[in-house]
Amino acid sequence: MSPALLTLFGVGIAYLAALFIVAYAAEREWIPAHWVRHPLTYTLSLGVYATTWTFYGSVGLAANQGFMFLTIYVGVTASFLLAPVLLQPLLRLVRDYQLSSLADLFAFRYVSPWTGWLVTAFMLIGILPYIALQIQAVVTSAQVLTREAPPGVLAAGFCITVTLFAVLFGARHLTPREKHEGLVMAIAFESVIKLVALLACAGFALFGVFGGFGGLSDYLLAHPQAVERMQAPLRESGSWTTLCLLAFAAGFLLPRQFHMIFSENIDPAGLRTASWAFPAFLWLLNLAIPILLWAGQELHLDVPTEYYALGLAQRESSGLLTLLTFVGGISAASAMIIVESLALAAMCLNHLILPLWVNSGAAPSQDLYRRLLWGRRALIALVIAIGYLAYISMQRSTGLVQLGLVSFVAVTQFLPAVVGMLVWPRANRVGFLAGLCAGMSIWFLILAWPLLIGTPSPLQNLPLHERDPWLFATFWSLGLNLLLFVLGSLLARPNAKEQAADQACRMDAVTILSEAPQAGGVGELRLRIEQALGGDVAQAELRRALTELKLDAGERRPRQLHFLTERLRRNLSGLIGPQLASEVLAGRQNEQSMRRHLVEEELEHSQDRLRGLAAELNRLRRFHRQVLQDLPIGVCSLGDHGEVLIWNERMAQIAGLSADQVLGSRVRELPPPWREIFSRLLDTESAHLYKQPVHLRGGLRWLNLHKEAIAGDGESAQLVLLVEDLTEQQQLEAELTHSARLASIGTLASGVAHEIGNPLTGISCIAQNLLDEDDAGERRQGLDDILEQSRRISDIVQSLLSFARPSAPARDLEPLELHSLVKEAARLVRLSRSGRNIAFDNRVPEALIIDGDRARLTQVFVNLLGNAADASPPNGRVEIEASRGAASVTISVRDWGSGIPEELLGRIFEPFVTTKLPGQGTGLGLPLVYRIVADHGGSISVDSRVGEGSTFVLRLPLAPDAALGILT
Amino acid sequence: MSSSQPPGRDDAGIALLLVVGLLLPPGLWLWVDSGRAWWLLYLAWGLCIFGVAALRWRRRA
Repeated sequence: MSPALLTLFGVGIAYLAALFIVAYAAEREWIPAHWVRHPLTYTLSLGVYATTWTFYGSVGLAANQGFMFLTIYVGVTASFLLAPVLLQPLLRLVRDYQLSSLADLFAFRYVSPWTGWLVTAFMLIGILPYIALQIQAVVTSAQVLTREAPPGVLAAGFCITVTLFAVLFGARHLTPREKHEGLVMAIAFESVIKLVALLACAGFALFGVFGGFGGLSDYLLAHPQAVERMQAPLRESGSWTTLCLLAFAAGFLLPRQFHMIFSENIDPAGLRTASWAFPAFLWLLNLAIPILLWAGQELHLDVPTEYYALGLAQRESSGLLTLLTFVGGISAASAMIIVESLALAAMCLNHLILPLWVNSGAAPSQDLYRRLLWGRRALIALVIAIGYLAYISMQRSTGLVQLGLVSFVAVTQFLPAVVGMLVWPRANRVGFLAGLCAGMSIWFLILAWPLLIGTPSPLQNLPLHERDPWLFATFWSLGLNLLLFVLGSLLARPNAKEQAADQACRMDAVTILSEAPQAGGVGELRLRIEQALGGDVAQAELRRALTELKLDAGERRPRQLHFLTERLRRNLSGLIGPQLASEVLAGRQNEQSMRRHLVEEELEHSQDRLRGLAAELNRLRRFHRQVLQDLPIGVCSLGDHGEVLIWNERMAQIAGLSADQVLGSRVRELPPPWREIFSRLLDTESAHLYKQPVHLRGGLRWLNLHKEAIAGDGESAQLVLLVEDLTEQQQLEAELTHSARLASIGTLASGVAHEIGNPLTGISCIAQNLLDEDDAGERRQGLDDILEQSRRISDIVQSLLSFARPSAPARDLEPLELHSLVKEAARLVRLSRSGRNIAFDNRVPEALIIDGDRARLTQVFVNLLGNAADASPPNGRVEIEASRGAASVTISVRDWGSGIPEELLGRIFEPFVTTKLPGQGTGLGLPLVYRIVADHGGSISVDSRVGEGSTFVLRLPLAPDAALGILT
Repeated sequence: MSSSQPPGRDDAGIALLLVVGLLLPPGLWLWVDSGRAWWLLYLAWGLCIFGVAALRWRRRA
C-alpha cells in the first residue's frame, strides 16, 4: 500500500474512531441529553438519506441530466411536507404497537404468515445493490485521490469497521425496543460532516475557482449552455415526475429512512420539526452541486464527473480540504451501511429466523434476550458481508446513480400498500401480496436482471421502452402492483385481525384494541409465553406489562386481562415482531361484548384524533356518560355474562368500591355484601327490592334495589341495576315521627297537667284528713285512696314516657295486642282538651295480635283518635272496631264529627293538608300515619261526608303466629 | 355537524399545493424556461420549504 493510500486508510480509520467516540459520549451522557434529544439532532440523523449518491453521484447526474438530480430531494421534500397525513400516522402506529421495522408494519396490517417474509426478502434483494455501491464509492474515491487501484483490504477494512460500529452502537440493548441515542447522535454527526465537506468544496469552487459570485456570474454569462444543459432536461424529459415519485417513496420507505424516522424516534415532536428542517438540510446540501459541476468543467478536471468534489479539493494546497472531502464521502457511505444493515437485520430476525425457530418446536431458550441480541449482531455482520460480496461480484461500470435508482424503484413497490393501510379499509393481505409479488417480479426482470445476469431485460420490448428507462420500469412495475393490489383487495375480504388493524391504522379512525385473545388469568398468559419463549422471558415480560398497567399477578377481571394481553402483545411485538407476538399469545377469541365496551376506553384515549361526525358522536357519548356518572342514584350495568360494565360515582359512594375495583368483575366476584345483594336481586322475580337492610362500613344502611333488562340489536339482554340509599330518608322519617310525637305530647301538656293535678289534689285532701283521723279503718281507706291516686299519676306518666321514647333505628317488631294499643292511645288522647269529653268505644277484640313497632303504631292511633276527637262535637263518640281477615286485620276509626270536604279527601294524606284552622294543626299527622302504616305493610283509606263524620280504615298484616292459628 | 379539518391536515394540504404548484409540471416551466437564472429553481424549492415551515411555526404559536 502506497503512503498516500496508507494516509487515506489512516484518516478513514481515525474518522470512524471519532464516530465511535461521539456515539459513546452520547450513550454515557458526556454530551448533554438535551442536545442528543434535540429535534435538530433527530433531523440531522435523517440525513442518512444522503449517501455517496448525493456526495459524489449528484454531480455526475447533473452533468448528464441537468437539474434532474434535484428530483431525488424534491420528492423527499414532498413526503416530509406531507408529514401530518403520511409520516405522523405511521409514527403513531410504530410507537403504539412497538413496530421496529417496515416488515413489522406490513405484518401488523396485512396479517398473513407470508407478509413479513416477503417484505424482508424483497428489501434484502432491493437494497443490497445500494450497499454495494457505497463500498464502491469509498474505494473509487481512494482510487481517484491516489491514482492507484486500492487493494481489496481497503474495502474489507472499511466493511469490518462499520460492522463493528453497527454492532456496538446499533445493537446495544437486550431488546430492540430501546432507543439508541448514541447511534442517532453519530448519524447526525455524519450529516454535519457531509454538509460541511460539500459546502466547503463548493466554497472553494466558488471563491477559489471563480473568484466569488461575480466570477461565477461572468462564467455563466460566457457559457450560457452551462445553465441550459441544466434546465433543458427538465423541459424535454418526462422523467421529472417519475423520479420525484420514486424519491417520495424512498424518503420514508427505504429501510434506513424508516429506521431513523420511526424506530429511533425518541420524541414525536421531533418529526414536526423535521418536516421542514430535513428538506431545508437537503436544500443546503444540493446548493453545492451545480457549483461543483461548473468549477470542474471550467478546470477540465481529469477525474470522473461524479468525483469532481475530490478533484477540486485536491486543488486546495494544504490538503485539508482533500481529507475533509474524503471523510465526507466516508461519512455518506458508512452512515448508510450502518443504518441499512441494522434495519435489515431486524427484519431478518423477526420475519425469517424467529418464525422458523418458534415453529420448529424447539425448546424455549433459557436466555432468549441475549440470544436475540447476538442474533441481531450476527445478522448485521451477515448483511454487510453480503453487501461486500455483491460489491465484488457487481459490474463495475454501473454508476452510483443507476444502482441507487434501482433500489428506489424496488422500495416504491411498497407505496400502494402504505397508502392503502392509511386510507382504505378494504385493503387486505391478498391484494398486498399479489401486488407486491407482481411489482417486484417486473422490477427484477426490468432492472435487476441486466445487473446480475449481464444481458438485456426479457421485457425490454414492452410499450414505453423507448421512453425514459425509469419511467418505463416504474410504470410497469408500479402499475401492475397497484392493479393487483386493488383487484386482490376487492376480491377478498379482510379477516377479523385485519379489520382490527385497519381501524388502528386509518387516519380518520380511532385507535381501538385489537382482537386480544381472552385469557383466564395471568398464569395462563405466563404459560403461553413460556411455551414459546422460555420462563425468563415470560417472567420479565409479564413483570414489565403488570408494572406498566399497575396490576398485580392475581388479576382476574376480564377487562384488565384484556388490557394486559394487549400490552403484552405490543411489548412482544417490539421484541419478536407483531406476527410472532400474536401467535405466541394466541388463545380463545374475545367476546364481542367485552371488545365493544372496551371501545369506550380507547375512545377516551383517542378522542383528540376524532374528526367530523365521529367527534360529534363522541361528544354526545361523553355527555350521556357524564349524565350516568352524575345521577344521584347508584347505577350498575351488567354485560352478557354478568360482568360489571358501568359503575357510576354514586354507586361507588354507596358501595365504598371504586369503579376500577369492580369493572369487569362478574357479580359472584364482587366483595361482600354486594355479591349477596345483587345475587338476591338477580334471582328474585320481582324487579324491585325495597328497604333492604345492608351492613356497610360499620353501619346499617337501607337500600331500594331495582333491575331492568336492556335489549339491544337482537343480542342477549343486558341488565341495569339501580341502587337507592334510603338511610338518610329513613333517619329523617324517624326524626319526623319523634318530633310529631313530641308535638303530640306538647298538645297534651295542659291535659296532662289537669289529669295529674286532680289526683294530686285528691292525695293532698286525703292526707290532710288523715292527720285528724284516729279510726284505723278510715285511715286504711284513706291510704288506699292515696295509693290509688298515685297509681293513676304513675300510669299517666308511664304512658307519656312510653309515647315519648324515640323508636329504635332498627325496626323492632313485636307482637302487639291491638286492643291494648287502642286503649293506650285513647288514654293519651283523653289527656288533651278536645279528647277529655269524648267517649272512645274500643270494640277491638282482645285476641287480635299484630306485629309492629309499639311506639309508632301508638302514634298512628293517637293521631287518628286525636283527629276524630277534634272533629267531634263535645260529648261526642268515637268508635274503634277491628275484624280479622285471612292474613290481615281491618281496623276502623269512626267519628260523627264535621267530616272532610270532598275537595280535600283525595289529598288528605299529603303533607300540610289540614281541615283545621292555622295554628291548630300542621297537616303532618295523617302523612305520618300513612307512612307508618305503609312501613308495616298495611294500607289506610278514608270515607267521609261533610256533617256526617269520617271513617278511617286501616289494614295491617296479622302476626304470623296469629295467621298460623287461623290455618290450624 | 362540524366537519372542520384539523390544522395538521390543513398544513399538509397547503404544503402539497405548494409543491405541486411550484415544483411539478407545469409550474416547473416557470423556473427552468430558457434564459431563466439557474438559482430560480432553488428559490422555488426553498419557498416551498420556507412556506411550510412558517405554517408549522404559526400553528405551534
